[in-house]
Amino acid sequence: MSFPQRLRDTFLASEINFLAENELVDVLPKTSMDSLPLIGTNLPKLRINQKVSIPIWLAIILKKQNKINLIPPNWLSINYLKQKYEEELKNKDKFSEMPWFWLEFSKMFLIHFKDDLIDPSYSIRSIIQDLREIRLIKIRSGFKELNESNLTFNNLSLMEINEIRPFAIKVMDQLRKLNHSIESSYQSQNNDHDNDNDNENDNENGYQNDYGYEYDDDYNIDIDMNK
Amino acid sequence: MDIDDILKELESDINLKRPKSVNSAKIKEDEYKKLVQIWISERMSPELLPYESELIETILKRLRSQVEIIELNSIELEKNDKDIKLKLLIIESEIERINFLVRSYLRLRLFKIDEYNLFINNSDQEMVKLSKNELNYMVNHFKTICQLYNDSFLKNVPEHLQLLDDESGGISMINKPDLDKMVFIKVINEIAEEITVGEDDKVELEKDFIYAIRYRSVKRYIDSKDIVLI
Repeated sequence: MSFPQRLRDTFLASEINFLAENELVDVLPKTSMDSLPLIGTNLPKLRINQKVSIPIWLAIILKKQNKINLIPPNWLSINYLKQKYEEELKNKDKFSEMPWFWLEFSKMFLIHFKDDLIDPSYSIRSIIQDLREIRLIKIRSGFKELNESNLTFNNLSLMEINEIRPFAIKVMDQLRKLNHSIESSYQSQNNDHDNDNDNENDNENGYQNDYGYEYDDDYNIDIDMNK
Repeated sequence: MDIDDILKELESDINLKRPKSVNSAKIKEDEYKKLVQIWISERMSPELLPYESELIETILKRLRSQVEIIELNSIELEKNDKDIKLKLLIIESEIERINFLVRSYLRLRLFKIDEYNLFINNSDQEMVKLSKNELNYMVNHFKTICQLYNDSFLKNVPEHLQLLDDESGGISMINKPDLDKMVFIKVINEIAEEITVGEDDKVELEKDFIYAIRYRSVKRYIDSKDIVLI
């Protein structure tokens, strides 16, 4: 078996984590160290208290050896996250903008760089959890928008996309197959719809068509409606 | 590749080590990013993508020289370098990470080659996507499978049922990648024209937006790297 089934439809959480670890973070070295050539980058020469950007996986190793301190990113603070949470509450059908790997980042920072964070880690943890839950609820309510053609998923992070991927793709593929098989009968009835479409183009929510699933005029439903 | 070549490469790498600094770090980072992206793309695309032989070669070459550095240093630790243990740890961790990527990439390709064996075999367009080793693997693997099927049961069934690539009767025995599969994409560069989705519906893809869309309708832009699979 060259590639197991469970890996084919989507990424494993650990693989997303791997991708997140490639991202750069700012750190302050506590000691100096010579530069080191690597395969995917070169570790720059470390000088005491001179800020450098290095990949997270490297920062984790250096932190364990007590060589560096992390400079926490702006978004990892109670104030910022609270504000995002408010935003999520206010805009029912829109996701607020978060880093592409915010879930993995916050987890890694909370585990490996606890003492470098400005706010207490337990309160960051709880607000992250709140954010996560409110976004999950929105994602689930967005499932009814699934169609056979296309969808936008703006401001969702890779981990969040990854979680819904197997389900969303399966549903969309099934709808496509269903649609394909009814296409011939659908076409004859569709002539009337076509004329109506011009007047209904601003109808964002789509309407129930004869076949029982949501169908959008321009085949382009924005979950976040952020046009 | 024998041991002499490896040593030669290592030497040239060591000689070049000094002048390379900021500039080479940038090149390395770009190549690494590319490696990550081809892995993601191969993972999420329904069909086999062209083999990135040049990139994989470069990465494998660097992998080998890093392994050499570890081996050299574990025999005789450099006394004047107090951080050598930490450095070896870092080098080793990175090797593990790159190994994972390359291994997963190659295995994934093998899986697709197995799955769409006949389809690839029948099309020149698909054949050029394979590396030399993969081609070799495919041909031999197919030969072995045919032999096995023949010996174990095909020789006992009527002749007209012995085909492995029968396409008559409306049902094809050849496994093809489903190009209409939904994929998740991110738009990197401005897409000037509207994309046809479904029968004749069009959508405009906006920059930096994320969509779930049919692979076939955006394949062109994935090839031109204006859109990436995620």
